[in-house]
Amino acid sequence: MARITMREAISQAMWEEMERDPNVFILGEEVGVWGGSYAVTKGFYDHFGGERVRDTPIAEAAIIGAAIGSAMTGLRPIAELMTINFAFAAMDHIVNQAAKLHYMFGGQFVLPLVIRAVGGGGRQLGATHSQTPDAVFAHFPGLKVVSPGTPADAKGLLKAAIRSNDPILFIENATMYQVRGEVPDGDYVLPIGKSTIQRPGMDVTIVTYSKGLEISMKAAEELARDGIEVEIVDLRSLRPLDMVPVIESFKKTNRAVIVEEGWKSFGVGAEVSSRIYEQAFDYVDAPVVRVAQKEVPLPYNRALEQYALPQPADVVAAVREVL
Amino acid sequence: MGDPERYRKQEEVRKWEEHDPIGIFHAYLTGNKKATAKALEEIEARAKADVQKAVEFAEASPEPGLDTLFDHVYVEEV
Repeated sequence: MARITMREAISQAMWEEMERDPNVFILGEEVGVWGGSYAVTKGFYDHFGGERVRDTPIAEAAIIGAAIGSAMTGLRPIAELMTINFAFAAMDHIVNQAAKLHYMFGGQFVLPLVIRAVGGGGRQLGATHSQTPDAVFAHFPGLKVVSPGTPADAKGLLKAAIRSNDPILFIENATMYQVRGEVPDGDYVLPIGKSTIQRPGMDVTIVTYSKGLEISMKAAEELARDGIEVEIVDLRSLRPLDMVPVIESFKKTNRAVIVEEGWKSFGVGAEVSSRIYEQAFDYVDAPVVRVAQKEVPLPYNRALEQYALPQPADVVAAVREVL
Repeated sequence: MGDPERYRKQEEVRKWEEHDPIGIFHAYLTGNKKATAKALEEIEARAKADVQKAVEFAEASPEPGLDTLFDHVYVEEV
């Protein structure tokens, strides 16, 4: 075990997988000589060389298109999108090619493709660079969408993603690279598509992931001071979506709050709450409450941006509402 | 430029500056007597002054209230 940052955990996962398998390579904007916009691939270019750490033009469709082609023909690309907002420029490749080719060719091709994309708001980057469109991508069968909330999960899930033969969108939150946590040394691989309990409690179930985990943990501390113990379930993967720990927890607490950074409408909370009603209707003691981003393009102004984003206080209020 | 540009050399930047469409268009307009150099300088000065005024206006403006959050999401009320 070592206490490292999310950035180091992600970097470690890729480094180890590239050492292990010569077919793994990285491509993206400024991933090579520059070492990555968020310094995640620092040192990779010098160690692995330009053949395996490839700087691309600013052309997201080309990055993902090349990644898909190389994955279909035997390599294991890790394509980095500087921000998930630029994924929209590669949307056709992601949802019409990557998500569907294995199916449409009757299983003849596999796409061992990882798209690392940086998302989230809160850094005054303006409406077009601050989105959390995770649910959009989770809508498409054929694509897996993974988003870790702790450094250990980041390492274990990214290593699993690189080894997986399915196309996986791996979403990292830009404000969480400095988050520290205990990460097992060596070959630490987690199964993809397993939710987990990050904090045990008996009173209310909070379902969340990624940045929502950080927000919910802060809210949990405040609620604990008033004797309210929330149980936090971290989804870690939106597709596949593992409801088993959610339902188990809900049957115990009979109350749920869902916390996500993205917009509420048609979002993760909508999906999860619907499944709670479908799978545990007889256990419902209060309407499920969703905490999410207010329904605006995220403003640049600092105060407005923070006001639009979900905060720990919003989670505290939501928990009190269901009690 | 918005970043330190450590990934490319200054001579590369200079080389591409020769292909800058604004410069090319500038040369086309003056070379074909569509506009005088003086007229173009005036347009440029006016544009710079407009931007400067906008910056000053923004910096002198009060912080927007939280009640303005939903302004201009749509034209019509939803």
